[in-house]
Amino acid sequence: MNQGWLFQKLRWRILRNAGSLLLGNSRMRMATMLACSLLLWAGLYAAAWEGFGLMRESKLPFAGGIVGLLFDAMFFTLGCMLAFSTGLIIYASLFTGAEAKFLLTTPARADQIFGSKYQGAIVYSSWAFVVLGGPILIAYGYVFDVPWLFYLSLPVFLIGYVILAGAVGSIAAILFVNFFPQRRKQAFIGLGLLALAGVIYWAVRMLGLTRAAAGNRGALEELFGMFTLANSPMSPSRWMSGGLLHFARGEPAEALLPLALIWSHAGMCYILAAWLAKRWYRRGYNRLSAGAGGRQVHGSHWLDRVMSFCVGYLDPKTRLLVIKDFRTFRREPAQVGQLGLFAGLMLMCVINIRQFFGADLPVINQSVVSMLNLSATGLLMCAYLGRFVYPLISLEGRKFWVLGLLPLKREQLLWGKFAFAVTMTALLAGGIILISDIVLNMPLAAILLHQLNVAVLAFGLSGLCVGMSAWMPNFRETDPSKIVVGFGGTMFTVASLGYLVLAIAVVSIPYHVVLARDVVFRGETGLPLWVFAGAPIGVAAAALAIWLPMRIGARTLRGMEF
Amino acid sequence: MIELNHVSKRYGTKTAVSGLDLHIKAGELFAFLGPNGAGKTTTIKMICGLLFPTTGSVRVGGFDVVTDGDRARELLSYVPDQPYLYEKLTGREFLQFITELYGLSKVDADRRIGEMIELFSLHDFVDDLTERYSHGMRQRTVFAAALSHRPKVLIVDEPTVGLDPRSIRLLKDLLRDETKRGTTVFLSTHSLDIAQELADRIGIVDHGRLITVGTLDTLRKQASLDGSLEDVFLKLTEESGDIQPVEAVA
Repeated sequence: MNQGWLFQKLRWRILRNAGSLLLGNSRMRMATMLACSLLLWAGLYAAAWEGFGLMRESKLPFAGGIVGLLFDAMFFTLGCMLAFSTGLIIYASLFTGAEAKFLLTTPARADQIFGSKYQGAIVYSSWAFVVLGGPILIAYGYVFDVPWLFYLSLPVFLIGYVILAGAVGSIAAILFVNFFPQRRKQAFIGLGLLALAGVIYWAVRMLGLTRAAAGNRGALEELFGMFTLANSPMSPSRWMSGGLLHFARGEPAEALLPLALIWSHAGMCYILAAWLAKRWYRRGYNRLSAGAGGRQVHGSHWLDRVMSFCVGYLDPKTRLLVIKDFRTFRREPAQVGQLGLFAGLMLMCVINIRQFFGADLPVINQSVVSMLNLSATGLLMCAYLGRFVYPLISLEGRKFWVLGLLPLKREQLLWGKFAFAVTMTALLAGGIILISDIVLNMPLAAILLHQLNVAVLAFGLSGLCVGMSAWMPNFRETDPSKIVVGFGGTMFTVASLGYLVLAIAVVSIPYHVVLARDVVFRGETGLPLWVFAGAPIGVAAAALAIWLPMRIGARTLRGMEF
Repeated sequence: MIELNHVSKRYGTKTAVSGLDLHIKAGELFAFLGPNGAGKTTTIKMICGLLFPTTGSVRVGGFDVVTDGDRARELLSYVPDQPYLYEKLTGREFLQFITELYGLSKVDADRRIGEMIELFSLHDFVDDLTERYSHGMRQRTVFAAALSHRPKVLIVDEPTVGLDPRSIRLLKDLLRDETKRGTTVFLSTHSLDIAQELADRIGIVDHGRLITVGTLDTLRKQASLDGSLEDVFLKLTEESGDIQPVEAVA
C-alpha cells in the first residue's frame, strides 16, 4: 500500500476518534474554545473594519500604498511566524517525539514520516492565518466593496503561502539538526538574539521615521523603504499582497502571475524539504541522539540564591518547594527564552515609545502611554502564568506520590507554587512598569498607583492560576502546551483576562480619567480622593481571587488519591 | 540473520559500544545481558537503524541497516521497554495500521489480526482506545502488533517489566514458539532466569564491550563456576575490567 495514503488514513482515524471523544465528553470545553476563538476573530474584524473605514472616509493620501504596505508587512510577519512555528513543531515531532522514534524502527520511509508530520505541523501553526489574517482581509474586502473573486481567491492564496512558509521552516529545522547536532541550544539562542537585534533596530528606525513622516514626503518615502524586505518583488509576501490586491481591484489576469509564483515556490520548497528529509532525517536523528557531549553537572546556581533571598519571608519547607519549581523553570531553555524574548521586547517598547514622542510629550499622551504599558504588561503576566505556572500542578502527575508523601500539608504545595508565581510576576512586571513610569516622567502618585496595580494583578492572577490548576488538574498529560490549551487552561485564560480588565479598571482608570478631564477642560482641580477609592476595591478583588480558587484547589488536592 | 562487524558507537566523547562483533543465525534465541548503562539499548537501536554505528557495520537478513535500512526493517520487529501506542486509536486500528505498513494484503491482515487477538486474548479491550489500557494490556497489544506481520527477526528490550506471572509464562511460550518457527529472537533483559531458561546463546556486555558469549555451559566454564546464570553473570561482570572483548560467530 502507498505509505502516504496509509498515514493519511491514520491521521483521519486519530482525528475522528479524538473528535468524537471531545464531542461526547467535553462539550463545555469545545464550546468555550469555539466561543473564545469567535470572540477574538470578531474583535479583530471589528478593529480592522473600523481602521479601513476610517481610511476610506478620510480619503488619506497614498491610501492604496498604505494598504499595500500594511498587507506586505502583515504577510511578511505572518510568514515569518509560520516558518518559525512550523520549524519548531517539525523539530519536536521528527526528532524528539515518541511517535517518530517508533516509526523509525518500522519500514516507514523517512520522507513519508516527514510528510505526515509536516501536515500536522502546518495545521497547528496556520491558526494565526485564520484568526489574524482572515478577519483583516475580509474586513478590507467588505469596506472597499471588492469583487467576489477576491473572497474566492483568499483560501487559494493562503493555502499556498502556508505550504511555502511551512516548507521553509521545515528545511531550516532539518538543516539545523544536521549541522548543529551538539551545540544546537547555543546556535538557536545566537540566531534568536541576532533576529531580535535586527527587529529592534528596524523598529527603532521605523518609529523615528513615522514621527518625522507627517507632512514630509522624503521621510515618508524612506519609511516605505523600511519595508524593502517585505515588498521586494522577490518576496513571497509581496506576491501575496500584490495578487490579492489585483483581485480586489478586479484585475484577475494580473493576479495569476503572483498566484503561480506562490504555488510553484510552495511546491518546490516542499519537494526540497521532503528530499532533504529522505536523505537526512535518519542521519539527523542519529546525530542528535549521539551528539550529547560529556555529562553536564548541574548544581546550585547564583540565580537560585537570588530566588531564595526573594522568598526569604516563607518558611524553609515552602521555600524549598519554590526553589524546586524555579530550578525546573530555569533549566528549560525554551521557557526562559520565551519569557526573556517577551520581557525584552516589552522593555524595548516601553523605552522606545518615549523616544518616539521626543521631548515634548503632552500630559494626555503620557497618561495614555503609561496605561497602555500597564495593560500590555498585564497581558504578559497572564501569558506567563498561563504558559509556565498553570501546567506545574498537572506536570507533577505520575510523580505526585513523591510530594503527596512528604511530611507537609498538601496546601503547602499550593502556597509554594503561589509564592513562586507572585515573586516572578511581581518582580518582572513591577520592574517594567517602574521603568516605564520613570521614562514617561509620571508623577509619584501615578507611580505608586501603578505599582499597587501590579501587586493586585500579581497576587490575584497567581491565586487564580494556582487555585484553578489544582482544581482542574490534568495528570494524564505530560506536554505543558497541551495542558494550557485544555479545558482548565482555557478557563484560566478567560478568567485571567476578565480579572485583568477589572483590576485595571478599578485601580488605575479613575486616576487617568481625572487627568484627562483636567487636560480637556484645562482645569487644575487637583486629584480628588475618590480616584484612589478603587485601590481598596482592587485589594479586596485580589484577596477574593486568591482565597476562593486556592480554597477550592486545596480541597481538591486534599481529597486526591494517588 | 543479524551481523554486527567491529561495531562501535560514540556519544560525543563517551564510547557506548566498542568493537562489537556478533553473528546470530536464523531461528536462534539470543539473550543479551549486561549491567545498566552497559550498551545494550544502544546496540539494539543500531540493529533497528535508529542509530548509525560510528564505525563498523550492522546487517539484518543481509541488508546493511544504514544503506539499505528500509529493506532491513521490513524483516524485523522491535518491542522496546517503553512501547509506543497511538493513544487515540483502538487496539484493532493499531494492528490494522501495522499490518498495512508492512504490506500485508487485506485478507491476510484480517486473518493475522484475528489470530493475534486470539493468541494474546485481546477480545475484551481491542476495540477500546489504547489510552485506557493498563501496562499489561499495552504490552500484549504491542507484542500482537510486532508479530502480526510475521517478522524474521524479533528484538525485545526488557519484555517482562510490569507483567504478571501468567503473562510472563505466556511470553516465554511465545518466544519459544517463534524460534521454533524460524524467527530470530534478540532478547535484552535483566531477568536472568528467562535468559537461562530460553536462550540458545547468551552474550554479556559491560562498559560497551562484549565480555563473553556462548551457551550457559560455555559461560560456566569461562567463569569456572557450576552455579546459576546469576552467579556466572556477577562473576564475569566483576572481572570484566580484565577481560578482552571477544568475537562471537555462530
